[in-house]
Amino acid sequence: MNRLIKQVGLILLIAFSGMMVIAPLVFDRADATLAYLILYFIALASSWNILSGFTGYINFGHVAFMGIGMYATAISMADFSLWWPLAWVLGGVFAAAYALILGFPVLRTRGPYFAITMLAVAEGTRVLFGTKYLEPITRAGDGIAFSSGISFQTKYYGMLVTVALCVWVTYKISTSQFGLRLMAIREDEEAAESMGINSTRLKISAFVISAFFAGLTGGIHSTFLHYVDPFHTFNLQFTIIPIVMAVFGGVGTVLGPVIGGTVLQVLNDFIWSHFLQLNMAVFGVVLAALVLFLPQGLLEWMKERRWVEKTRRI
Amino acid sequence: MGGEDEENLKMSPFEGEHILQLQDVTKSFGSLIALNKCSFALERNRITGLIGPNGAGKTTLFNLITGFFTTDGGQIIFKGHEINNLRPYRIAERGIGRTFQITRVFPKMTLMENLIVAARVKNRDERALELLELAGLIDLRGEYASDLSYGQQKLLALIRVLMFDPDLILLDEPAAGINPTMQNKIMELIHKLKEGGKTFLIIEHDMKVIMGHSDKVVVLNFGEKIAEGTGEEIKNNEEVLKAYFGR
Repeated sequence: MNRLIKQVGLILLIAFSGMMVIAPLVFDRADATLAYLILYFIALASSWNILSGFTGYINFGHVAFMGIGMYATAISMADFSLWWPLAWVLGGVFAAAYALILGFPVLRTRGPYFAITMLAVAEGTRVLFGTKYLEPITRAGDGIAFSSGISFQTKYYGMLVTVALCVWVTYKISTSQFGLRLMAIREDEEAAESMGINSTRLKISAFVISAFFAGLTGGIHSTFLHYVDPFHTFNLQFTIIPIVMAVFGGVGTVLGPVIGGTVLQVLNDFIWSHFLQLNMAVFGVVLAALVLFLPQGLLEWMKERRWVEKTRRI
Repeated sequence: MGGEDEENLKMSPFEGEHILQLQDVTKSFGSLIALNKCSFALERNRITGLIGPNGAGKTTLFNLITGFFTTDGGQIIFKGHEINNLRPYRIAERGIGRTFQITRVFPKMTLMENLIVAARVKNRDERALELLELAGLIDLRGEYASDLSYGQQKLLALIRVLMFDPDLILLDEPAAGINPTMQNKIMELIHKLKEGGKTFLIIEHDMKVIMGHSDKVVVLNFGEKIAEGTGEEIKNNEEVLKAYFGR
């Protein structure tokens, strides 16, 4: 049984990865776009997971980092004609810097206070980008429309590489002393400190890595949308949906956000095309069902039943 | 308390013998004085018992030594350096380990992970396996700590402290609420570690446990040290009897 599940899982993973690699070459535009969006949401869920999944600090402001990345890329390309790979990476760098500055005050708060504070940070950032004081840089409410001049395939593979990197980094964290210490913070921060674990430094490191990948994702996505404005860029749903995806797959796991992102985005696309009005309602139902039946997520649920080995590598 | 000051003076030439010294340590919460000018010293490589009725300030004292609370006055000196008000992880880095009254293992981490997370030694896996063997938990190493019994969790918490090799270990009621067999196992382990060079400060409610295993006993009541000495001396101390039995 165990062996069988392991092999089926491995085959599924390889088939899925292979399909994502060839998707833009063999699928029509609609299906390739779906594949792109799956990658986009996996990247958001997986990057969210690096802080929140491992340390248990539930970040309700993840969209702030994606949004900063989108703006950084959009501005650097529209106003400074920066070469696109640099503009993408710049998105990650700006988001990481934002997290570094925020981390010191914000990560002092714990539990629900951190969640609320981050919600406020994201909303505050949205308002900030819409104010007239920053209009010369951000164009305030008008937003920035720009043309990236790069092909869909390039953006697709950019996103694929981002996902691969993010999952690889998660794997590295999950199997390292650093990752164990982040989990110890999640389990009991005071007990962790009593063993010489510098929780502040570790939390900030995870926060910055998480924000970097969110910013990089945003940077690429801005070239996909060709447009940024405060309302759409910092929309709360781009925090909530990735959280639901990560929780569905399994927080604090390597492949949880990949499973959650794929399953729920495919589901979302199906509902979108068949029962348009129910689109967001489905996420509400999924969230409620998760809390009731799978509070630990799919992977932890399987681990508890010993269908999957209790290992940090998955 | 003049006698005590003299005692401290007498001790000073032997400072090297004292791994930890408390001098007039004071802590209050609002109008409640949890600890009032508490002074004593711990000798290296000894087991010291810390007893006193409920609310005497024992756990508060632990929290002050390990940096979870900040002191309002006095000094805490560890290996010749003042450690008052350092962050908890800094104090742990200097070599003080502790357990908590309510056992705080990491529930959704395996036993092995619970141990290696704290490791500062090179051969951490070997060391973890060695300690699991010592505690008789080796067969459970891949299980989540939440699946252990209460007594097993206490054992795990104790060996987890050893993973970062502290010189001084503070134990908050290590034998409370568990069956006698497990109690003996824990006390046996503590003596083994003492022989290996560790120093212990142990809070214990059960007088029998503390008297039988401690080299020295310190008694707190209402935030003040009321007695200090060997088990025999404490047993016959008027003040202690008054505090415990209301005589």
